[in-house]
Amino acid sequence: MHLTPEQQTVGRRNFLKAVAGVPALAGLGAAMAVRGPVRGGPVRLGFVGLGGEGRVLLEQVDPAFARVTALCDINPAQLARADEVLAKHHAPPAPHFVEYADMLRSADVEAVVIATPLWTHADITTACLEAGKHVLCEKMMAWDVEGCARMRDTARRTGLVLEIGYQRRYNAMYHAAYEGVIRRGLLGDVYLSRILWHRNGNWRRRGDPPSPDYDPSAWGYPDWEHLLNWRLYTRYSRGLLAELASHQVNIVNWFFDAEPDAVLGSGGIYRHRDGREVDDHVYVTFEYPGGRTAVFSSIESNAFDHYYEAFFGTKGTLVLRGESEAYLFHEGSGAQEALAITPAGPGPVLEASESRAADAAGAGADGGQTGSGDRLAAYRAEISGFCSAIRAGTPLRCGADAAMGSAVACLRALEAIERKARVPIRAGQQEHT
Amino acid sequence: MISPPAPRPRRAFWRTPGRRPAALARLSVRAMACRFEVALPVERLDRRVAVQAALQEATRLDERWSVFRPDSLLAAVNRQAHERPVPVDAELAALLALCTRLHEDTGGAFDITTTPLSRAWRLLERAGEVPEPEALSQARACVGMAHVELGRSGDAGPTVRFRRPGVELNLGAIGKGYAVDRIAVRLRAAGATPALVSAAGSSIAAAGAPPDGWLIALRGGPETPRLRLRAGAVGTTGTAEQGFTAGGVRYGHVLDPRTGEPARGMTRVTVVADTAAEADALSTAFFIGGPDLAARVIARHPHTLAILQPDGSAVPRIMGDHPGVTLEATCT
Repeated sequence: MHLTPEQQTVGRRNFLKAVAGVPALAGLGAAMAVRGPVRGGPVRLGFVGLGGEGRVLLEQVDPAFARVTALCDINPAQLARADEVLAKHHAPPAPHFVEYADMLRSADVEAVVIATPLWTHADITTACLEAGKHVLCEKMMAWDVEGCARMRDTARRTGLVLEIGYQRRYNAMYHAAYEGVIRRGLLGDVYLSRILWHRNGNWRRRGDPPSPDYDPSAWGYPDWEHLLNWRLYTRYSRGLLAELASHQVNIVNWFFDAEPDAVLGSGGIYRHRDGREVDDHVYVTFEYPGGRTAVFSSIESNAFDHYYEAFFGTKGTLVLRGESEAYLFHEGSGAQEALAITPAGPGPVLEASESRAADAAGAGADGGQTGSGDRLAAYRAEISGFCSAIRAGTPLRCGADAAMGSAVACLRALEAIERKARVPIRAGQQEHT
Repeated sequence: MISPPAPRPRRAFWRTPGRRPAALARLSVRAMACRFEVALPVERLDRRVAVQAALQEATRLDERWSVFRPDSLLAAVNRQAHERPVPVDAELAALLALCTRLHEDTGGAFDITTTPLSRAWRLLERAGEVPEPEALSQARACVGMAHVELGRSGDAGPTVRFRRPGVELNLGAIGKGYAVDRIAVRLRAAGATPALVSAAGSSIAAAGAPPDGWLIALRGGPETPRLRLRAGAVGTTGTAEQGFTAGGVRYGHVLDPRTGEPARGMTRVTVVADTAAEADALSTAFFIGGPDLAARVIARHPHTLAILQPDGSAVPRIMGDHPGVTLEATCT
């Protein structure tokens, strides 16, 4: 969403004004309200899958909450990089495993962080839970609805913690937006949410195998390329909807306090006909109860809009951009009217100046840059929150049910694109429950 | 033993008492291609509806007087007044009378008929181009308040007539100031004071003031003072933001109606006067006419303070006085 500097200033101030005084969230961007160290000492964590996402999580392990006691990956190069992360943080080295089953049998772990390709989530998660380990599994929950249901049911039966890694749920900015804007009704009645994630690349990765003779076929990847670019192949991945949309649908479900009833979609491989199997352009409309709609698009041909979640209500508009910027705009007597609150310091109220061309701003003495969420802090809070749930029973931000809501919506959206039909969501979910 | 500091009572930041408001609410609306803003202490937000209503003055006047809107009153005047007297409302008639007086008082430096010149210099489309001598002389022939006749026609009330074709009125050098005045009047009437009204920083008016006034910064160097405004209004004209370069020469967007050429010699002029309309008009006139014209006008207009920033000089020239304002050094 393109916002002028003036709109950014006004929208940011409006947002901060709205969320000022929301309990426990006064310090936006500060760590979430998770306290450590927890009774029982740091949680002993095993990591399965140490690619880019796994290492982001590994980087954010707070020693007050967790200690890494096992590293598992089928790619030895990833294990070596994970060693470097631990060394950088002066954490003790952790034993290596290739098979997660071996790790579960012999390593000293209480809980497992899973950041593997999507198609393995259900099997690895249920195996961990069956072995008595708590699980923090990266999003999306699973490759299909059956897998999601299996994960959820196993967690219920074992009574262990299962959290799905939607880091926005641990981002203070989103909590401030929910508590300070959505729940207080500042937007009025919201009928439209626009969520999008636009990029201008091809999503294809390039990299050398860990060794010239490396053969991942034992794990279901016919060659190195399929492992490296698992996101592009349907057997392993559900494409843009799973990797990008599910984050944002998860937020819409949260803010709408509902799950979509049905979904319409279209999409295809329009630009990158390079042998990939997942669409590079998807356009999806989610129908929520109460006449509410969320429209999602993800494209691999233009990055101007980048990514955001926006909520359009009868009284105002909330824009959450790039996981780090929040803007609130009021629908005034005229749509152009804006209200901002600025601290009045000893400095000038205003600068007198000659008029400017076209977009004359007439800006007052600016209150300065104001707080923003911190993406990495959200990952850190995610792992700490998971550990806190294990040790102290604090509530999960995105447990199996919440995660399943967005996962099923995205999986049904894929179906809608394939079948070129309006696909019910809730009915489909019940088939598996 | 050192006793701990007494706990400070927690207060919402805008409730903190003091001479100066702890926080300002700024309400704004876009009109006349800029942002109109009312700043007032946050505790006066109880007058928010009144402030919004006052800000609508800017929208109303924009709709009536914009020459860029074909349906505006002023556009109708420009289309028809060379053929016959065009009825106008009392408000526009009064403003045109003020424009005529200011035109006379400034020896023609302030002029609302310069649109043909702006068109010749291609400033209306913000392109900027040195005109051919013939085009310029044709444009100059249409410029001047002498071509504008304010009259009355019985029941129809006030009228405007142009004495020749090609004349066009444009309130660009006074309209924003007038709108700022109107907003200030409505704020005072609604008790929404103290408030500071501004249009893009180039027109500012105080509708009441905090005990120590409104501190207003001016653009310029360390020698440029700041204003502490308790009453009155501020207008600023300059060409740092608008103009063009051709053949290695920089031309500003302010045209001298007396020569048809872009005004030269000043970087920026700020005027403090009783109303923003006057401050707006006089800052343009002084930008064109320089210190000599400022001296002549100030001699006949008490309550006028001018801060002139000549080209290539870091030291501003300060002339005249206004009881509603004090100057402060920027560096203390």
